[in-house]
Amino acid sequence: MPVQNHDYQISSGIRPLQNRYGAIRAYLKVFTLSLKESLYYPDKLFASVFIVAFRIIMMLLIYSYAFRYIGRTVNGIDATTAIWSIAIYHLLLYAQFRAVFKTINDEMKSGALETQINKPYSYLFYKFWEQLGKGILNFFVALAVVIPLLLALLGSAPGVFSLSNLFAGIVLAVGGTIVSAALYMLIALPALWIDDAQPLYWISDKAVLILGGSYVPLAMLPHAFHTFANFTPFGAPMFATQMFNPNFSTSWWYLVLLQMFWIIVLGGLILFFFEKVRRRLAINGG
Amino acid sequence: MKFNKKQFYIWCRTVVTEVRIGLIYIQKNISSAAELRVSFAMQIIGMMMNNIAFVMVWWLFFKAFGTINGWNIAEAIALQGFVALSFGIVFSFFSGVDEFPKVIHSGALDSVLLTPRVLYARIFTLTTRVSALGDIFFGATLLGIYWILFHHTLSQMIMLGLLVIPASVIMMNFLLVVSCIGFYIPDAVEISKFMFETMFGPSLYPAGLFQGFMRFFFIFVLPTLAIGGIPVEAVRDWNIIKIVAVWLIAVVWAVIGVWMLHRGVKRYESGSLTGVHI
Repeated sequence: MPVQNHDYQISSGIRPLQNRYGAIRAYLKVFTLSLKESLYYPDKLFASVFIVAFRIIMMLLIYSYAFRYIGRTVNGIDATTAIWSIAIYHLLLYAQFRAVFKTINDEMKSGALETQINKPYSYLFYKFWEQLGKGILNFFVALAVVIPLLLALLGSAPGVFSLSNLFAGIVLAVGGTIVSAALYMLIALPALWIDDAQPLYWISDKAVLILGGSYVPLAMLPHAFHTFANFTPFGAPMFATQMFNPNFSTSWWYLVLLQMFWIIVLGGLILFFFEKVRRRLAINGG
Repeated sequence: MKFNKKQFYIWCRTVVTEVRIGLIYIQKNISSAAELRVSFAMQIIGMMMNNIAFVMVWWLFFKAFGTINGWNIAEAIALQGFVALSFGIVFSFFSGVDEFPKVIHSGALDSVLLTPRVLYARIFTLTTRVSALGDIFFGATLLGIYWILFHHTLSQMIMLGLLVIPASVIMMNFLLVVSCIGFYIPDAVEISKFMFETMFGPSLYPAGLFQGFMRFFFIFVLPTLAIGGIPVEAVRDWNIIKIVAVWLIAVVWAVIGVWMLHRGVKRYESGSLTGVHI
């Protein structure tokens, strides 16, 4: 195979190898390597699955008790629906991209970015596939543990559950994962200006926590929170948690459109700010 | 046992010296972190804003469910403030224990063992976490709001403030105990972290939701309620038994912490890691 004349200029966010198939193969390799790496640390896998199972059991006990205590539903949501919704939130956290923030933030702070940004691949795509490989195994193992656990403890899925809702939920989960990747990458980029973007992460992460329904499902929150969840990027990563809501079968396509909107907006912002990062970065060598 | 005046004097002098040196370490750690001023200020403010989310979560919860077993938004505010204050104190000034499993695993404990200080005290003051100062400010502010809005007496607030001491002691020693797993299992950073999270996470949940076996488990097996829910209930109801119980639990965990540390150190094998540790 002849040696290709790769474009070795410092890569902007979305300027991968000239050979597209080669780029896809390279990213898939990164994904596979990260996946294999996560297999080498079974104790970490066990710990993370234990934590998610523990949290969900805690929520199950709390919500079962609270609903029994008040003896009624809240905004049409019963204990089973609330618990399933919260469980989906905690499961999705594993597939999503919170950890990519730390990687990029740390590389910006330590200066390790300079050794990666001049490689013939897109830095951001590399981080995307690397993180996906790290998280996907945890997600599926947690899924395999939590779903049977919930079915055993609660007896069934919520009443509104159907296969079409499940399909829509999967579409929203995939869309939400891409939104979360864009969101957490975007908030890591200011680290070049403010030394450490950790505070931005805390604020964004907690906005996702509230609007995603980690402790209190979105359907149980006042209407203002629904508006805020839809019209800011913080609700979109966790739209899939709404798959057990009574009106989900009529509203899911609207949520998909909102996710697409946020992917385009956040993607554009990433390109803009990454270009600024590239210009500002001082490579000292050494 | 005969009271030995000289030994007691030496013991007192050692305690005073350790406290003085501990304060110097803490001051050094904070000064070092404050070098990057923008980052330092943003971390503190960011952490305060981060914590507001938890108050909001429980406000929304109680808005949906109303009062549960005497717990409402007032108690939730006190709980968040109390836990944030205790957590802030532990992780601002004594966060070395959080790094302890990493220190054991990397072999860096050698340099700590060689310092002419009491090991127990030195481990706690190894590092400082700047963002935890935000927890202190946030906790104090929230407890002030709790006092003003819900008309508690000054003596109740002083008692709540005093209970921060045993709550912090419990948290520090629990963290030390789970960190000591590093002496038995290689690279126990993740395991000790998840054990601490298992204990600490539910401490932010209103204690009124823990009844029966769960209440017993989260007081006597994991000290979760002792670092938040029980102190808040004790001060709200002026329940002396609960106040004494929190102090006793702190003493028990301190004893377990010291015992685990001394057992663990006997198993430690030097990594022969050379370097300077200031």
